[in-house]
Amino acid sequence: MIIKAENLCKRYGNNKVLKGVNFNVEKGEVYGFLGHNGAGKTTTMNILAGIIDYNDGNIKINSLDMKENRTNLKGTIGYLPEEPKFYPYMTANEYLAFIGEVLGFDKNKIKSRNKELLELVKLEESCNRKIGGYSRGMKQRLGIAVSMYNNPEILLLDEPSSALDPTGRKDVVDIIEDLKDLGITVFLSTHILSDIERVCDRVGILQGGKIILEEKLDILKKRYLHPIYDIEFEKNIKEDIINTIDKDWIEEIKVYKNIMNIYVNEDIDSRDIMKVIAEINLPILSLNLRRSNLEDIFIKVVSENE
Amino acid sequence: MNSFAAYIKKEAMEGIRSFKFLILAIGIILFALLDPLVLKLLPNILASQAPGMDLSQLVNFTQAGAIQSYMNNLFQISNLVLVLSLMGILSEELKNKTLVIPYSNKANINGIVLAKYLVYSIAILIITLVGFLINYYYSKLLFPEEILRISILFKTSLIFSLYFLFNLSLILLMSSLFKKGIVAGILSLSIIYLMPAIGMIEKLSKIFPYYLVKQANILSNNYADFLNKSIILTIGYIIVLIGLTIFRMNKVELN
Repeated sequence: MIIKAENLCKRYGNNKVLKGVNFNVEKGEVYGFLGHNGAGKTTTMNILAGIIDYNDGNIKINSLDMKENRTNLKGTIGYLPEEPKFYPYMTANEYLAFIGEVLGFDKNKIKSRNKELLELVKLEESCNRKIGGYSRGMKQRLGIAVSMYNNPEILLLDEPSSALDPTGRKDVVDIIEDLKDLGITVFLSTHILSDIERVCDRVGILQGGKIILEEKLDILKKRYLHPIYDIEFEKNIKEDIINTIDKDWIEEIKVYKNIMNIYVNEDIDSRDIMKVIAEINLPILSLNLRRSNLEDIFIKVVSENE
Repeated sequence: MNSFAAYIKKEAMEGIRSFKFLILAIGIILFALLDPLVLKLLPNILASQAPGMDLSQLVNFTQAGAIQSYMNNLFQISNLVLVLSLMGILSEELKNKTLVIPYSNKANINGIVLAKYLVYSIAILIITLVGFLINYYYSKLLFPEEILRISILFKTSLIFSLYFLFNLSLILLMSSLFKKGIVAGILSLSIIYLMPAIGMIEKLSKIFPYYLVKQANILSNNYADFLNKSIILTIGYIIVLIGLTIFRMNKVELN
């Protein structure tokens, strides 16, 4: 276990933001941290990065207690804030060198590390331009490079792709995939669920200051993602036809004009659905299998807990 | 130590690229050039306004008078420039969250505060000395009758610089207390401009750093015996203010 948070609590005055958050992150995995805006994701990230303190609970990183080893742990954790802020009068190269100096690297190491990281985030060509003139996507990529500077074991990425255009988002997600290949443990907070689906191994959903669900993504998909069959008939169908279909594996049937949606509650043999269609005994135009996505899971889990 | 060294470079770069050094230089050096000239032209200007008036009773038309006039402007206007250009020294970093990334990369707050203070202290020391030297040279050309010894000017410059360094430490503390630089600026200015008023109370005058301004204005070696104690007291205040700034910055949440 590389990160273990137990009963983590954080208050701002009377406002309790985190009310006992528990989660575990395994070494080398990409952990997706989901939640509505204002759920406490950034607060949790700031606590893990050592930027702010917490009121109650325990955090262990690499089996070391966060409170007792806050300064030492900082070097092992890279952090990309939601909106990384740099000194706008510096160039990317100068900023990376500045971070290298803060970390105590010598000149040669700074030079080689800058080159490696600028290549990784594809900023080599604009590394001598002032950061003040960078686009949001370029700043985000520079932020990733900065968070990687000290070769951290753990990388905390707070909404790295939100507010980026589709190209910028793709670039950032590609970089996260590269990080995964490098064996870095990534703790990724986002509300862009397609990004989570693409790169994460496990997800935790934060709501009301607590983790309401934590599971491996593939298990989660098996448990929650059920297929939906969309059948298009030649003619409009009568709604009372629903009553004639009685199967245990059918969760719900919706009918609208000549379209029927059959929601099934488990992975069934496709021949079973053919039998149902045969029982309806109407000519069909098309049959389509639709799979729901992580967004459906998120909405379902959150609404169950509201 | 790494943070201190890295922030020394960063502050020097910021001072140059955001024109803070230039603004400070203009705010301090401009009057070094203007004051002797104004003093030289003053009799001509006033002669047309008040013919027959004996101005020598009101104004000291000597090199010492020109330097004293410069010091008046240093207090009244250069202090304003100092505060306005540096009031965001920490508050801007807190407001813009620019400390978050360095801090998450092991930056040490003590090193950051000390580096900021050191860079601007050196800038102030150099600019003030240059200002006094220009003022000395220019006023010597315009008022060649009574020339002051250059050693007195160096002492005066150092005494005045120490007063500016106290003001810098005050601005640094105020800037760590408020995320809005303008609030820090107004408070700093209020304290700086109120000090002479409090200094009018005989028993308190010597313990305030404004006493250094009064002593600098003597422009001779006849300084009061209390000057050395006042210098030590001011250095003590500076240490306390920097200590409080470091304490505050270590407590404040940077997010």
